[in-house]
Amino acid sequence: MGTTVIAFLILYYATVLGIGWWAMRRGGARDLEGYLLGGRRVGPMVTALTMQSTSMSGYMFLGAGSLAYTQGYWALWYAAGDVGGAVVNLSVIGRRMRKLSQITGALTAIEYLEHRYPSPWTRLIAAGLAVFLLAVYVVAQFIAGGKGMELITGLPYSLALLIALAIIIVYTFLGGYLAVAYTDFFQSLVMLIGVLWILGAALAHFGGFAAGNAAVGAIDPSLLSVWGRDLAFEGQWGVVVGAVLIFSIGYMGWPHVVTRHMAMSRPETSRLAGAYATGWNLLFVPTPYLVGILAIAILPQLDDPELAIFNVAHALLPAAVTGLLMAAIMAAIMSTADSLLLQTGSIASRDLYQRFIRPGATEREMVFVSRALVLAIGAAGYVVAVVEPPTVFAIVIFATSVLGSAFAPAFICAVWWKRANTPGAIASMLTGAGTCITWELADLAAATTLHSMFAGLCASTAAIVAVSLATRRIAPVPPHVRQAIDKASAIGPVTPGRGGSSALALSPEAGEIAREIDARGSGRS
Amino acid sequence: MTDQPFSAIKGEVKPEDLAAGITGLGLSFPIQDCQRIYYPYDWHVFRYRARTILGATTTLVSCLVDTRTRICATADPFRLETRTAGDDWMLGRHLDRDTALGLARRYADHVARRKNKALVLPRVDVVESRPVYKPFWVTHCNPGSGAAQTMLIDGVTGDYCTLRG
Repeated sequence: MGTTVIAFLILYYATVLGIGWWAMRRGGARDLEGYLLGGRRVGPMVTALTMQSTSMSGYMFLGAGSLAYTQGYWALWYAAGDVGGAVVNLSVIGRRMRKLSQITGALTAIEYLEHRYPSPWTRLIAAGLAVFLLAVYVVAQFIAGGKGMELITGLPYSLALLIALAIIIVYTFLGGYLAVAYTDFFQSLVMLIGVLWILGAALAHFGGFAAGNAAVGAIDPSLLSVWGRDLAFEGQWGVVVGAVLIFSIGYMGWPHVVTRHMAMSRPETSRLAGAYATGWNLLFVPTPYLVGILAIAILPQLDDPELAIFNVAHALLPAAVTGLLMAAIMAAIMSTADSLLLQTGSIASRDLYQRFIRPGATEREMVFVSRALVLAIGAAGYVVAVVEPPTVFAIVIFATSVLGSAFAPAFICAVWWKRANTPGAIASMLTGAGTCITWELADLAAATTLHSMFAGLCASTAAIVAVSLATRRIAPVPPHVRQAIDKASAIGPVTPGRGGSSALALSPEAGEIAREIDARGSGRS
Repeated sequence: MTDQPFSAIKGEVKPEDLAAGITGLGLSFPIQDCQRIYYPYDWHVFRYRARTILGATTTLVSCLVDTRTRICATADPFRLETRTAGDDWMLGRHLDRDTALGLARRYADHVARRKNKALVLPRVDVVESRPVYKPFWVTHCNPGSGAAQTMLIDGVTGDYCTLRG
């Protein structure tokens, strides 16, 4: 790609690190809180863009483009679910989960599941599944980073992958890529402007959408249909529903995504953040897919469809702009990989090692266990990515389908169905994961015309309902859990239609003060 | 009721604001009466020091522990003042100081770990640790649509929610 691209890559990294350094110094010097409240002070727009940029990277720039390049407009089924995923997530479990986790004192998603479905087995199974699937998911980021580095530097893939992996692991171990909201905000803006710029360049190349579609149709008219190349998925609604569900309902099964619900600050902020996130999604999510479709006519002979977006940018944009965009994409991929590794290491050390192996483990031991696991994932990921690399798309779809199938019904029933009990949740996690993995490995989607996500979700939902009802007498939901669910659903808006809104954050104090007033016999002074 | 002085978070919402109908809070109906209540928290500030690629970082986490519900939260900066209860109500604590410190430390560790994004072992110091009280207002009002409502208003931020209505 040349020295201009590499120069901009270095410049971009320097800028991102500079923002992190500035925010750290500014926050630390200003007041007692340091920069830890950054996320709460910066408002809903920065909050929203931070959330979106840290969860969308390798897949959007490699997987989405590849799917669109190989299947045409069929790929937009995946985008359809993704556009509304954030709002569905916030609406279905957001506010109630925040309250319930607060009431039960849970800090992580796995801890929350154990508090709601009390049993060590809940934590063991949930943590085991999460560690395995997040490790699988992070391999997709490694491959994406390796391919990007290969394209930028011109080095052989195995060496480029090693460099990308080394950078990710070094800053996971040593820090330096701080979770500063403004860094993520800056990154998300560059990503958004970048993909829109590539799309604009692609449309200008053809002279508009109609001309672009005509060029794609001239190569293969079936790519313009929503049923895939050669109409391979025609009438397969079970596959379509699964494709839409993956990034809408599927997000609810990601432990690192649902943890954000537990950390929400004010409900007003979350509502506005949801609106901004949807706005950002509307602009960002379909764009890589559209670029992938247009790439069919711009670069019809690509060896690796996963590099469709990178290659379109290289072919149509000036070197400086390409360099900036590539740098932003690489930084986003590495940031996501870093977050996933930290989450995986944290679950392994706290939810498995400290909980089941050494309850008295010191912080030093926990850091050691986390680092050992990160190194093991890095080594295993490198071998997989070099010896027989799956596509980024295949890995992300596999991990998301299994996570969604295993966890989504358990998270949803946790707040919406009081009768969901521990055996039901455990059966749901095992059945959902087992069904989905079997579906993927045996390629049952082709035989049954049902997507693995759809099959897994149906199986895990049926399991939680059937097992909870069958075991309601031998394993009743504990009274303190039922009370917590009641409290989580109790606070409503203040006088609907009168303006203003109820402050959810006050509900614990409100409950205590109401009890005190009752105890004193009268609320009036 | 006690005349012992205590540390309270300085409230920005005054009785006159409530008497004026708290229209500034987005409500359009007048308040009939109000009672100030001091709610008990434990306030802890932890300093996390760690070495990263960007150099040594120092992070301060200010954490309030609700001593009745055990819920922890990071706190925005606030000013303290010394108060006596007088006619105001003071709610009692349900949590001893050691337990509150343990809960705060666990919560602050979690927050700092997520923010630092690094597998490093930080040095942690307790910078501040003391009980504080936060003012709330319990008010009665009639929104004009029938039944009267009892509302709770955060004396620092002006946030509100219904207690009964």
